[in-house]
Amino acid sequence: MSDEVRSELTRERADELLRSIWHASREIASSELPNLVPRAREIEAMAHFMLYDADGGVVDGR
Amino acid sequence: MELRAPHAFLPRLEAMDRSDIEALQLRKLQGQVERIGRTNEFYRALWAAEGFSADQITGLDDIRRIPFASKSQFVADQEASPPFGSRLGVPLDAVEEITETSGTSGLGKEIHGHTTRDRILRGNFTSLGWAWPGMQTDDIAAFHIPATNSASLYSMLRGIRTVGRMPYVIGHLGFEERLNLMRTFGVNAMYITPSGLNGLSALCESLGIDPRAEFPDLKFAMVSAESWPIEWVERTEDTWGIRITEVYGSTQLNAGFGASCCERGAVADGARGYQHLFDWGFVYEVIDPDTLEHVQPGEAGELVITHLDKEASPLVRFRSGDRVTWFPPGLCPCGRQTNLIEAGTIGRVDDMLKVKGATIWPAEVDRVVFADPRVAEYQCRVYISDKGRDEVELRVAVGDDVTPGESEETLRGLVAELKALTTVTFRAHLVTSTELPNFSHPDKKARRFTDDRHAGLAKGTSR
Repeated sequence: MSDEVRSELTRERADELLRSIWHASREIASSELPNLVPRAREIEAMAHFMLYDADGGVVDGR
Repeated sequence: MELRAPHAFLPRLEAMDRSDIEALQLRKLQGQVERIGRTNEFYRALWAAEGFSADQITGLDDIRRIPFASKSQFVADQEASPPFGSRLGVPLDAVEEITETSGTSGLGKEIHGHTTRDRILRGNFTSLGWAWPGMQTDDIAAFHIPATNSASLYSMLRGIRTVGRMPYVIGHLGFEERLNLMRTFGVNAMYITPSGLNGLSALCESLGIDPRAEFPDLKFAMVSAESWPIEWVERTEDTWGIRITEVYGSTQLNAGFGASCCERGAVADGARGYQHLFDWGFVYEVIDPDTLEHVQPGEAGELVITHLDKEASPLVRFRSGDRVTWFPPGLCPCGRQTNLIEAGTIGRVDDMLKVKGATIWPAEVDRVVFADPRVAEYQCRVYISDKGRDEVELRVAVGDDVTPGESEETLRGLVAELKALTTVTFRAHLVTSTELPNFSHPDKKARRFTDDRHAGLAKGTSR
């Protein structure tokens, strides 16, 4: 990948970032912004399953 | 047990001990049953009729209190509330994708809806089967199943992309074209049925191609849908210089798979390996289909599936009709503490057959064949041809008063109707009534189908 970015990211910090993405995308997905909702749902679902390894896919308390 | 799994993909889940897995299952089961009981008309009615309510789930064993669900109930529900049935359980506009079972129309195709989350879920879970045998991020995979609305296509492509890259679809092509595209694009892994792989091996042999030399970067082939003898795996691994791994899946399993062999593959140390059931997202039970009691370790029974994450068209205590041999957690040296099923021996508790990825119910073939009043009796044999391909032979006897011209017309009509019904071309020919068993005898159960493919794989091709 030509634009590869590397950093000293821990898995715990990655989980924190994913939780932020999950919360943000969830808020947009439940909005009334029709052009954004479908893709926000997709991002929310992907963040959910990127966190699956952290908590087995359990949603509440995320 | 310590996790000894170099290709763990969800390492925290895969390293869980058994008590943590079961605590996770219980938590998810309680949430799923509560939600479904509140929102899903089909299950609410089914459960109310049996006196079950969500608050009865206080431990994992309480799952046995939940009534079973079956394919026939799903189909009846769809007919009453087309197309998805009241089992859908989410608003129609939340359905982002569908899958259909490959069943024939008369016995009913199941239609399953999927939300966005359902769709992403199965991609992630399907990735396990690709990661565990060693797929890496730059690996390319070939997908040897024809594209349909049935379970495998979308989920497999997502699973491949989750771990590796550039899946390409070649199941709709003849074997020679497939080999050409595998040369063109390269291949590090592929999904294919055992009989498909056998056909590819046979073609290579007939063309004088050494698969090891032709595809040196191929690491493994993932198989499913058909049982196989150990010798076939060992011979094919040697012919291709690869590992064979096996997965288990279905449309009902969120149109993906819910079990896979680990790094050890389908055969390890000369014996059948295990498939690890994905216990983090499912509760699996294996029951005696007659007594409905759970089987003992090493015994075969019917797999009953409860999906713990599915939003649309959820699955709770679904009797799959699939026959598996169950083993408890802890037996696999990889250390993953999941329940296990034996690799290579998955079959059916009923008489359904899978041929070229299509589903054939003998009762449906009976209906078509005997709809022609000229037919006196018939028999079908599923076998592997000299070219290594699945074929169905249809032997038909007609009545004594049927003319040769009418007989030929009958054969042509049956082949066309069966093709329309199953998508499979039956190799039909006429025989005399004396060449077929007389199933009209009251003590003789009419078994008109035989499946010789297992013996065909055992015989295989020589290098």
